[in-house]
Amino acid sequence: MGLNSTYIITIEKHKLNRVNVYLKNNCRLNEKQLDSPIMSKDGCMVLLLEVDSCIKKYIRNYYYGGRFSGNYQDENLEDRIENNQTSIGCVDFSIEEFNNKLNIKFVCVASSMSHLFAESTSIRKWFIELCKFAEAETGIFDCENEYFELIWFKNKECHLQISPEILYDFKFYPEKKPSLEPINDLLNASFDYAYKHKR
Amino acid sequence: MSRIYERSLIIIINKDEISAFEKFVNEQFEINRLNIFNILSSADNCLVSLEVSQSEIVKKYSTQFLNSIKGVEIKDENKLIFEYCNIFARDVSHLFKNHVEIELLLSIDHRIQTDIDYRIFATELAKSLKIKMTYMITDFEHYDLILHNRDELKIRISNIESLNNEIELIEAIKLMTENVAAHNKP
Repeated sequence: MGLNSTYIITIEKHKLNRVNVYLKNNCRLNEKQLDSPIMSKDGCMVLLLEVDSCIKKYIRNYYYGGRFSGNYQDENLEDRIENNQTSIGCVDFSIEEFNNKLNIKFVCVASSMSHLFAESTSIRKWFIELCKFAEAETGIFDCENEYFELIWFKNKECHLQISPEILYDFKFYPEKKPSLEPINDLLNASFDYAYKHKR
Repeated sequence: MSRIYERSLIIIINKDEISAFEKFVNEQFEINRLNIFNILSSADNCLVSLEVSQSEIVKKYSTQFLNSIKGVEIKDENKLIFEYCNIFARDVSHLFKNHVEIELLLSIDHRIQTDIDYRIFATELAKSLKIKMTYMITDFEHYDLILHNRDELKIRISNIESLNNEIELIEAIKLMTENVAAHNKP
C-alpha cells in the first residue's frame, strides 16, 4: 500500500468562490476546468509551483529515474521548468460538506508524491497562500500514519504537529467520549517547560 | 569525535511521592544520595548513573562497540548503565496542585541515541510509585507523552511554540479533531 498524504483546507461554505479564483490562478487547468475548476467535478488538479530543491529532485527521479519510460525520457529536466516554475499533478481533488463548512482535499496519488508534499517548502507555501486567500478556518497536512500538522489557524501560519492517535480516538471511538485531559496536561506542562522554566 | 545528544525524561509526581521516587532511584542506581528537596531548594542538579533495561541494545551491538562509547557501561545482558544523567527538579504546583516536575537529562552518544527506549524506564518507574504524567522531550521540539495517570499513551506534539498559548493550542486541537474527523468519515 502506498502513501496518500493529504492537504485538507477547511473553509466556510460561502467562501468557496475564493478557492475557485485561487485555483484558476495557480493551477494548470484543462478545458473542462477553465470555467470553474470546482464545478467541473474533474477530480484532478495540476498545481503550478515555484521550483525548490525537493521539486527538482522529484522531477528528476520521477521522469528520469526509470519510473516512466517513453516520451518523458526524451525531455530535458529544463523542459519541465520555465521561469523557475513547474507543474505537479495530477493531485486528486475533492470537496466534502459538513456543518456548513467545506473540506477541500488534495490527495497525493503515490508515495513519492506524498514524500514530496511533506518536504517541499514551495508546496507548503502554495497551500498557505490558498488558506490566506480563501480565509480558511484551518489548513491541515495529513502525513498518513505519521502525524497531522496544523499549517493554518486563526489567520496565520503555524507548524503544530500531533500524532494520529489523538485524533483517531475521536474519529473511531466517539462513543467512548475520549478525554482531552492527557492532551491538556501535556500541553500545559510542555508549554510551561518551554517558556516559563529558567534553569 | 562523536556527537552528544541530550534527551529529557520529565516525570510529574505529587510531592507525597518524592520519597518513593528517591527510594526507587537510590535502589536502582545503588546510590544513596538523591535528595529531591535539596535540588528543589537549591535549584541545582544532581549527577547520577542511570541503570536501565535495554536488552535490545545489548543484543544489537557488540560488547566491544558498547564499551567504546564514553559514559556507557554494560551491566549484564539486559542492562546498561548511563553514567551521565542529570536530575533537575522544580515545583509545578501552579500547574498541578502540590506536584513536582523531575527531569532526567541524559547525555547520549549519537550512535545509539535512537535505540534507547525510555518507555521501559518510565514503565518500571510507574510500577513503584504513583505518577501524574511522564513525557519525553527530544531536540526541544518533540513532546512525547508516555504515561498519564497510569495509562500508557503514545501522543506526540511538536512545534508547540508556533501557537501563542495553551488555550489557543487546545482550541486548535479541538478544531483539528472536528475537521479531520469529517475528512475521515467512514
